[in-house]
Amino acid sequence: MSDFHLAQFNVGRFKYPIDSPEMAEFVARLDPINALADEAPGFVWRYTAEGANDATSIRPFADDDQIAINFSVWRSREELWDFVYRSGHLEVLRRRPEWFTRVTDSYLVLWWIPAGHEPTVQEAMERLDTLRADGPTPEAFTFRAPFDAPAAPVH
Amino acid sequence: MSLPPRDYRTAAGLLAEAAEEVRADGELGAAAHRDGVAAGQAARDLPLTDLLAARGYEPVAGDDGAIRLRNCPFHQLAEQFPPLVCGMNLALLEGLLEGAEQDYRARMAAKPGWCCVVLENSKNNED
Repeated sequence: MSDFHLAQFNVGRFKYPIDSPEMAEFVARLDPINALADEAPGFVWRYTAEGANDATSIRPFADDDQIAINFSVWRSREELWDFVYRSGHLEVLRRRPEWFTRVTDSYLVLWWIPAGHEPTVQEAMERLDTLRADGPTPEAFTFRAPFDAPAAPVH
Repeated sequence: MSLPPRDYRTAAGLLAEAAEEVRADGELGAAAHRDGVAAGQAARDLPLTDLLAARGYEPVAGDDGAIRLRNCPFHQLAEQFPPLVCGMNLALLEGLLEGAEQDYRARMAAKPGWCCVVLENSKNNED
């Protein structure tokens, strides 16, 4: 049983306002995909806006109100990977170009947190900044450049 | 006689990385579809499972009439670039079915341990 869980945070720039017809098929998939995540092996927690079942109303970038976030915690990297790429979620990812514009900077960051810690959006934004500034490190990494959990609890 | 060394894996990885960078999913899918159609046309007299087996998929027929695929021929590449390569694979299989004029529809249904595409018997469905 690990003392650490894996947090993931990714951002995406909507191609159209979320209530436009072009986004209808994405919006229709939010609840089913979130339900899949909730039931997936290794799922611990996901961030939701107050009174909502998802985070699509959150806009943490002051200079771009089309950028949305997705933020969750998992017991292991393998279980997160299996949900992201080996579940119904893969089909939504495959159709990403229909709903999201191309982002040239790193848009997904992973980092280890003490089990039971509920991370904040601010913390997540800082980790993404670290990844963008320094590339993958034990503090902020990606699926393609992963790092193992620390050997001992961090204080 | 021995062949000179080949390293398609390195080239494939670099091409996939570049394709992902420029978001060439659509172009890749179109190319894969065309390729699949041609291969399907050439194999029209083969049973579908034989065609799939010859392409490395290890087809398994289910009780529900669907065909699942035990092997991903692009395994390592698909693990590194899942949406790109799994999308390519879906388009390739769609093309194969179309070219071979088989009554099956390819659908993305990813789960661990299997190819992410399931082939469903379209004779059972109304469109």
